Amino acid sequence: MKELTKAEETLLLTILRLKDNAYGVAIKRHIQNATGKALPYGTLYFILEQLTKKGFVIRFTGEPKPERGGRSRIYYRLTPEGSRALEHAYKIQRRIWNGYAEQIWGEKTGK
Amino acid sequence: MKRTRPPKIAERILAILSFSKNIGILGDTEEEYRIILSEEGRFRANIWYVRQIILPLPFLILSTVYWSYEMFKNYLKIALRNIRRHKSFSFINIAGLVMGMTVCLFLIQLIRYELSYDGFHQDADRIYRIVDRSSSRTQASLSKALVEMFPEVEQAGRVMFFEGFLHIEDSLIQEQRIYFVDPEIMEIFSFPLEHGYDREALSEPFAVLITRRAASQYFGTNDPVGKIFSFNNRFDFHVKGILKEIPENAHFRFDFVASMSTLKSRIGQDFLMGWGSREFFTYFRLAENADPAALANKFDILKEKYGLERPEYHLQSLKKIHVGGNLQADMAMNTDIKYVTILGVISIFILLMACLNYINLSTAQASKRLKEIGLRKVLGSTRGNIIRQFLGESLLTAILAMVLSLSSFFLLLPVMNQFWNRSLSINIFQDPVATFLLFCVPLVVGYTAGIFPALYFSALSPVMLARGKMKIHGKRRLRNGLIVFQFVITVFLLIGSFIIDDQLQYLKKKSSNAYGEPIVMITLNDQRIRRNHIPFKDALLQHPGIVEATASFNLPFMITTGSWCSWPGQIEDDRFIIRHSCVEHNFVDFYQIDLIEGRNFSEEFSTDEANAVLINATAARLMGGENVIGRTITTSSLLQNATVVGILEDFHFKPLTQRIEPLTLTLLKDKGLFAGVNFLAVKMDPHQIPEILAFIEETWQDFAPEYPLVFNFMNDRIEALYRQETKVGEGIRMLTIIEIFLACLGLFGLSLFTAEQKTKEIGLRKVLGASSHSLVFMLFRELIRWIVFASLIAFPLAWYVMYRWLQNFEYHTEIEWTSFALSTLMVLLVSILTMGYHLVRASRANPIDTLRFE
Repeated sequence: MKELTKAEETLLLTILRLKDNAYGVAIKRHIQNATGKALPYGTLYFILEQLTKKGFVIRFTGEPKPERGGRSRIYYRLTPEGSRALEHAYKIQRRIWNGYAEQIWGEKTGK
Repeated sequence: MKRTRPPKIAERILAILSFSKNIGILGDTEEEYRIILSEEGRFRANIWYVRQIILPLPFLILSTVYWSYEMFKNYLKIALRNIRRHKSFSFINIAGLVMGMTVCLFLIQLIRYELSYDGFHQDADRIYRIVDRSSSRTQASLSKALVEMFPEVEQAGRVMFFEGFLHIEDSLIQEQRIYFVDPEIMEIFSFPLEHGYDREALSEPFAVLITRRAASQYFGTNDPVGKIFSFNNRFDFHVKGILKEIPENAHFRFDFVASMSTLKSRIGQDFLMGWGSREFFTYFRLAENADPAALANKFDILKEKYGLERPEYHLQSLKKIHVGGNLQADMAMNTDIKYVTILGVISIFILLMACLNYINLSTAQASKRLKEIGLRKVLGSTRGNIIRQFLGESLLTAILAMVLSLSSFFLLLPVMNQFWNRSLSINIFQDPVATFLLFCVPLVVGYTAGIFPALYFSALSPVMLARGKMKIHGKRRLRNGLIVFQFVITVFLLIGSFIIDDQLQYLKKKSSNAYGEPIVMITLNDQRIRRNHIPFKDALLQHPGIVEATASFNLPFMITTGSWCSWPGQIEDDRFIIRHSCVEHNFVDFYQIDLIEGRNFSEEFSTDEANAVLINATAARLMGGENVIGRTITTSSLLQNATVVGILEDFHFKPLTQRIEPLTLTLLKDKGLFAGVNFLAVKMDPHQIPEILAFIEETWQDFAPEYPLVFNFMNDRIEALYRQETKVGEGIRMLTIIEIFLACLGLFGLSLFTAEQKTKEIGLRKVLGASSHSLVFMLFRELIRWIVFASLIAFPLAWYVMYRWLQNFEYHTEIEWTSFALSTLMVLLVSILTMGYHLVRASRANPIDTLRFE
């Protein structure tokens, strides 16, 4: 299985966390809060598009909203493949970080 | 209601920038806009919104540029690779385009040059010349009358010229043209005065202005202003000023321009006044905003006032004089714009041919590109991409061809300038129109040649392409159509150049109509010989090689002098202008002109010299046709009444473009308007020409040592009459050859393709028992069919056009069927030779080789 990029991983986690409310503004704001950096819509949608094509998320359209000028929200939800990809990524992360975390923070605390 | 939506314009821009399928973006930004609006106010919200637009822009632009560049690199690489891989096809394509474009470049420059004539005069748009029907010269009093009668004519003036000899600082110069002008002329035109006196200078007699070129040539570094030099040893000119060099694109160019009043004191007042002879070029400047057409309508009043019936005045706008064609006895060698247009049309056809070749060859090559296009389509190329790719390729070829043709233009320019006797500018870029055309030509050519292959290739479906081989039936028909079209043009041009050639031969033959031995025309420019040529003539006749000699006032094929003619019992309506020349007794025999009725001049009749006159058949017909012999006629150029003694056949005493007019011939006289002789014609033994010419030179030295001998062969002078037609004929022949070459290039490429395509068919046929000969015939049969079909279209077309062209000549040859047959035959032969190599090789091929892989 192909590795997820950092951005894809972040996005998938955000969608997972936002559950039924995972749409453009919410995702963007959530990421902004979490990382402190603004993610432009262009980038956001580009990654979402990639994820959709890979089959990690699916997209569905909500009801038109007046505050969006009569446009619909586009919601995203993780697919089973998306969950598996996240799980895979988590396993790899854990394997990579295994032992290092204690070492780094151990040193820090040991000062 | 409070506005809660983002600014309209910003939203619009965002909509354009964001990909339409992501409708989410617009909605999201609006939603977030509202949140920011409610939290931080409208200003902040607007700034935020605009940032959404601006922030991704650099990336967007960069990526677009990057990917177009990448694709462009790929297209360029493929295009160049194709040019290199198919060398013969590329060569044919590029060579054809180069030829077509070079021809077009020349024509652009030529046409522009021809149209630029006389444009440098400040008031060029308001200056006009009056001409009388087909004659460029008008009466002496016309210019004065114009100013007096019509207030809208600001200034009018006359121009005329004489040939003569100038004694300048101990050297003798023969000047073809010494112009005499009214002082107004210098104000109508804007010839810049370099230094010296003002423009009034030409109001005094004997005043002359010279150009910078003549000043440095004849006076060296000395300042010529104030110098004196003599004209024909008769009177002295005073140099009053120097003019700047006159541009070459002017119909009125001179080195010496003298005051008209000089003639008054020398030739006489009568010559400069009145309505008798037509010797002057009349120019005038119209007031601003005056309507020339309105003025032309008022000429009847003028004619009525002065009792003129004959003239039909027309206005020639200054800038149109040069392209208006040659009028009788015009000032300069003009161009008929018709001819330039013909050449222009042909060169556009040539360019079109090159484009057709390109279309033909690139679609014929289709099979070689099918895989590439299939692959591109599979990889996601849209139809637009493919179209752009192929258009780009043809544009590249066209631009390449343009660069090459520019260099060939620069290389060939000196040759062409010599050929056309023009100084076309090497610098095309100095002129915005030419530069614009220069950039347009490759664009137009690139698109014309490329659009068809582009549309054709892009329409192929990848599924069909994947199957590999494909049949292209419809396209074959189109390709054949293009070939037939090329053949039509080729056959047409060939017929055209054959007929033009026929006509030129006819003109020359008819003008020099069997004079037998070669004739040399000596120009008698020495006053003493002019007045008394008999001793000179007798001295010449001493030489055994000189058969005969005769002196005359005019060249026998260029009699332009004339006047009104009347006879007793004449009705007023019968008045006509009759040409008149003075000749010697033996003129009629010398030029072998047939006498229809009556007798020739004879030494036995002592009264002949005073009052005998010969007329031509046209004159006799105009005089009633019967009992003309013995009648008395009067013309203003005859000193007294004359008696008609004989009627001559209608020989051509003018170029054959003009109808034969009535003519009178009288014997040379000592007095009157036609006193003196201008030309002495000498008929000589063709085997001793160099010796005789040397003898003439020696004899001339004895009689007129201070004047150089000026002579021409009669045939050369006659050819000079048809110089324009000859040039155009040569030009058309040259273009025809280029055109045939182009057609051959196309055929050659196509035969290569046909041979390749039919390899297997030929192999199969051979296996089944066909002979090489029958196969060759099979392959040629199609070609012959095309040519015959093309000829059927070209024949009536060529016949009609050439028929119209021949109508320009009063006397013309008939259209011969041989020109048609010959043209078709030539095309057939050339195409068989061109295609022959490939087709014969294909039909000879061993079927084992061609069918090995089946």
